[in-house]
Amino acid sequence: MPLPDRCPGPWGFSGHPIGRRSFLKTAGAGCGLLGLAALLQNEGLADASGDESKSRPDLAKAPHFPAKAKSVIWLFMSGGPSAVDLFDPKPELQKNHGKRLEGKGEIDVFFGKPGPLMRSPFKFKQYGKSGAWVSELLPHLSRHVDDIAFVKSMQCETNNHSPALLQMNSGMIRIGFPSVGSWVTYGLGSANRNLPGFIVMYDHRGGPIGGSQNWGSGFLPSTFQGMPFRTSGPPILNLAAASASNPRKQRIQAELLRALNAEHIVQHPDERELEGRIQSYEMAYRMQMEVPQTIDLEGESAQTKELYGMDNNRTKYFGTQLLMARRLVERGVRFIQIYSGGGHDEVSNWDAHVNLKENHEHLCRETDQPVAGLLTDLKQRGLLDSTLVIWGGEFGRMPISQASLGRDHNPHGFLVWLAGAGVKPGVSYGETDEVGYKAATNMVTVNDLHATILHLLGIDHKRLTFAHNGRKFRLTDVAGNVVQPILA
Amino acid sequence: MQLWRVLATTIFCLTPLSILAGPGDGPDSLFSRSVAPLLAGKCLECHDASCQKGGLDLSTAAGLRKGGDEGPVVIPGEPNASRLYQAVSHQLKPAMPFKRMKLEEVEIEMIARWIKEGAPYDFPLKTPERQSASKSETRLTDADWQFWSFQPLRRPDVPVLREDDWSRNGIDRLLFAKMRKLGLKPSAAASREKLARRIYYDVTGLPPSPAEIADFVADTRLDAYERLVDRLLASSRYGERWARHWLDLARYADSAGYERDWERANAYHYRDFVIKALNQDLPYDQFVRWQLAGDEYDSKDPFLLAATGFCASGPREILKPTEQIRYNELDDILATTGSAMLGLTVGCARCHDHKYDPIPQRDYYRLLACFATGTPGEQWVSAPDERTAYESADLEFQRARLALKRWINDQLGLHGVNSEPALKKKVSREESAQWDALVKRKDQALNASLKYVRKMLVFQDAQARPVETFFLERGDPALKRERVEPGFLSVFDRGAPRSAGQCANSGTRTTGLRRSVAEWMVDTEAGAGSLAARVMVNRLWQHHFGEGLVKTPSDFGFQGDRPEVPELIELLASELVRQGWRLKPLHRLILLSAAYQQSAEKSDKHGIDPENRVWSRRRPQRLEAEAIRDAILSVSGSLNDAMFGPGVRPALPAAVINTGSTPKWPLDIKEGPETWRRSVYIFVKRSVLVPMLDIFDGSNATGSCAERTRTVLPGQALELMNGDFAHLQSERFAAKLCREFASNEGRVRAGFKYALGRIPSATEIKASLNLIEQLNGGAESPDAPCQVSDGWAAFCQVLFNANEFIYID
Repeated sequence: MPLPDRCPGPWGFSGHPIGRRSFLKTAGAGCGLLGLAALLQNEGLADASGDESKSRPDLAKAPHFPAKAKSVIWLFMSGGPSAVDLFDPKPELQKNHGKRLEGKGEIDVFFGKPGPLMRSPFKFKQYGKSGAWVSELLPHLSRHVDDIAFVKSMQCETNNHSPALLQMNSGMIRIGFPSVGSWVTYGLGSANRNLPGFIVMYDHRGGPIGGSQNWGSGFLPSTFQGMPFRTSGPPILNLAAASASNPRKQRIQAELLRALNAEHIVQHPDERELEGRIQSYEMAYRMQMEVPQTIDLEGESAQTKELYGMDNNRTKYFGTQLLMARRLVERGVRFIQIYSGGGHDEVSNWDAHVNLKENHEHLCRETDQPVAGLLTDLKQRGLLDSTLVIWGGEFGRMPISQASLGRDHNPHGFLVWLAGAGVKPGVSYGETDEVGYKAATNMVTVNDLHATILHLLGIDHKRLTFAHNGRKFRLTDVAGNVVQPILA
Repeated sequence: MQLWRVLATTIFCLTPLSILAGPGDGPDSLFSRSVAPLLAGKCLECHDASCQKGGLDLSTAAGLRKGGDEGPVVIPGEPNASRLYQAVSHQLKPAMPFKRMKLEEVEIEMIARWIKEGAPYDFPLKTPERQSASKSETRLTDADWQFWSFQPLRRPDVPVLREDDWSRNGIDRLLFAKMRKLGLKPSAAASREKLARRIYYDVTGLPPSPAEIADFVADTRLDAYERLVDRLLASSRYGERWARHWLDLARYADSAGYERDWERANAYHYRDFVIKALNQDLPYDQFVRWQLAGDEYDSKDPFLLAATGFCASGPREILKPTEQIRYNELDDILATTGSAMLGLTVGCARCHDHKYDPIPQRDYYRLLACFATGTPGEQWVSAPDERTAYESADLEFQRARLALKRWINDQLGLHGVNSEPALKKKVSREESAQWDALVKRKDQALNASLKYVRKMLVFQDAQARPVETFFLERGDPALKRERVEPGFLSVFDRGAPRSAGQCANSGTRTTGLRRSVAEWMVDTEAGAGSLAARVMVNRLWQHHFGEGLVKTPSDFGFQGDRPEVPELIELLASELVRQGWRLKPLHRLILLSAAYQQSAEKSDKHGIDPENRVWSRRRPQRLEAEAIRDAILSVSGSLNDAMFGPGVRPALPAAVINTGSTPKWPLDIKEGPETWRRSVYIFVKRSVLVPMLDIFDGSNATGSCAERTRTVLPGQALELMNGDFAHLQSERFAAKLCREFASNEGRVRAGFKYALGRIPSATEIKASLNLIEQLNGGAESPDAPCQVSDGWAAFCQVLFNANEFIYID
């Protein structure tokens, strides 16, 4: 690779995670990325002061307090999965099938008129020491309930997909605010300098509603936005285009580029941003080396691939993404979000308006084995201790029917689960009412969930701020409480 | 005495950090003697138990220990590390006491000593009587309207210094005086070549051609530079370049965002209005008025109507409007107007009184009331006969649409299914054909009607009677309090709120309230005009110099930057008003200053004024995303300089288009002259950002953007080294060089001149020829007939990637 001979990169090509201080030491020796124009008047965390964090906000930073989680894998069930059909059976609902839902105030449906209560078409059993209920749709996951903390009393502010997706991702129902992954990478930087810190993988049927608005960096610098990562073809845009197939050409080009830039820099000794740009080319070349290694699943055993369901056409796509996620975690990628469900019709995502049974059977078959495989794999490699896994949608589904066999959106009470780093295993927190309509005890807001995620990453959600338009913004705005009972 | 000991000890026992906030030495302690009166007198007004600004309560030991929203304020024993000390000694912003006189030095010393001694806190303090009757509402004070940016404009006296043979106008004389104070001298003037490249990019956003540089260098007339300035300001390219800056502030887009991201095929009229207004040198006060209320000045003139796109350009969630969403839309208008035109973060006062600036929450709702009757909509601008043709075509479309809908409904019932996808599976071949025919009829009718559409996106009131607006507790529509009268920001009225009279003659179907806001906005006597002028001249400076005189261009409030050379802002703003609010004379003044013409090459001044706050040198400016793309198109000879019209869509990789739930950008676009328009004409789709612009920090149109962030990222290198756009344009540039020049060396020289505006050194020529030779497989004869081979395109691509290409001296 070109350029390093002028300024040997402190990381070699292996992309070892590196602390900021040791990086500074190396860089201070005479050539570095440091001290570019002060483009940010902000700092992520306490440790990140000084010039270098402003010009290269993606450098690794220390958390506020020791972190349990180094990485996050967020399995986003786009469209809104149903709690009463997967993890939270309600005897009252079964009993009152066909009756009107009464005494809950005006029923807020998104489409049409409210139908009667509809029992779950699925059978439930209790599993593990914790005795958690799991429906027959998730045979693989049921073996992991003792690793999971269920939060059954989630609430969000809207029953409309796009704003709800935005809220789950950024805390706000409006566009223009940074997503959780952006805040996290802004706060902690990237532990691998050859890979993006925030990676998004979406469904083979298309992205979620709102597309890239869901992983935007809002008013944070664009470096913190999620990078879409594909499982087939070049994973990152422009990564392996024409010239990458011709490394010789790239090397020859880089020689001339270096000569031009060297002359230009001599005339502008104070403009360290120019040096930074040269280094960014070096890093781009290194990314071209590292990313193909990351996505190359050749070295994975047949057993591992089976674990993720890659030997089955139905589970292959999601399984591949989840295996990729594990490989990204191993390489220090901070935040990975994977969407199950894309496109905009009844069968392509969890938005089961018309036929809940068919919809959830179909999507559970696609995801159950891969999700269980991921948990198994993380655990056996000792990665679950430092990786936070989150499962959930932008909202849940109503206990009443819609169009006789479907369920409408429900923002008043829904379920997410968390597992791994710092999460208390085998617990359940919060309840919805007797039919699963509204959160009834220990309500958890999206702000609370976000505060908890940040907490597990060693970040105090009240102290991670960014000054914008005259005020300091937080992921959790002016709210949010860490959900202590689900912490180990 | 006994009591306070007991109390303090109780607190002491609960304190984990026991050194902090323990009792001192009794009534004669430093705390009780000096610190307590100081805290009570200067701090507790805002930082007591009931008020707790910034989450900080200094009235008890526990409160002191807990600190504020941002953590502890006192680290016992370490005054320098304690935010309390940093704030009162003005090392930290916001400086304390907030908006009040700085404490006496001895008082500050005392705080330091107290912290050094461990910050013992002997007894809880009582808050002094508040002056304001209402606890919840901020009362504006003298300190508020005496703040620099709320003052009337005052044209400064410009000093004439002895031995100043540098200054060319008032700008320079003010700066020269500052430089002299710091012991600095201005930098040498830039070379003519560099100056030409700088000013072309700066004013037009495009590079000068080699011939244009040569002409300027060869022009020996005394006023050669002045002529160049005038010629560029008169060029249509000027409006295209500077419109982009304003469109950022106006969060302009061609779609609504959110789930469906509906396209606004008629929004571009606003973008064209901005370009035309700038090119015509429409006075800035007019420019402001029409954007807020063009329809209320003349409801027929399409130019004025198009201007209201400013209010209508925000993101909109249309799928399921709620009252909350409606207030969000109004907030977007208010926040955008406040930021763009006033440099004030008005939006911060939505849920509570502004935390820093003198904007009570009530003012927010008074101003909101002026916009609340308006909504975005479409307005006809077609000729009458077109309109009739449209109406009959549209009628047919509506009929066809209904017929289709009815047919589907019937079929759903007949086949006992619930959805169209389910129905698809059930219909017979015959029925399917019927279905297709109905769809076809509908599509054809739609296309027929669209031919006649000449509509534009506008913002208009729904009726003449103002919609009632309420004070919303915590910004929550469910917590409506009393009705508020439409009005303005009271700080400009010395705190005595003035109601917005409904402007007469505004029209019969409109409230006239926006027009009264518009008049107030640019009224330098009785409105916000002085601030509006300051904010705008600062923006001009910002884009000419890379940074504003006030470094927070959309925050002229208490949290914002204070100008190092306040007289300069006053001079420019007064001049703007004196010139009848025309912008071009201001550009001219700035461009003709010696300050602007300084060299950007190495200087020795970094040490004295590292931030360059007195502008004694030029710093290279990185081109913005749009200018980088435009420069590549221009240099390669591809640029199509057609102006105006519907947004154009460049070809995007499928990977980018597929990130949404439905494709929101055509997949089959071919790059060509149609797409090689200037970037300001690119269709701005909120959910599909053009990677070439996005990666170079282009605006994402979600909110008013005053300043682009400037990142240096590997993704940018990948875009310019591997992206389709860079490849194609490198090839086209190579073909142009090969066409125009016969010798290899001539081509290399020309390549440098086109791309970098200079001739290459002998080493650079050698290195370039070496690259071409290596990639083309062996030495080419010096004058070989040119093939657009890999080598030449690779050479051109290197030029596009050079730092010098995007950093302009």
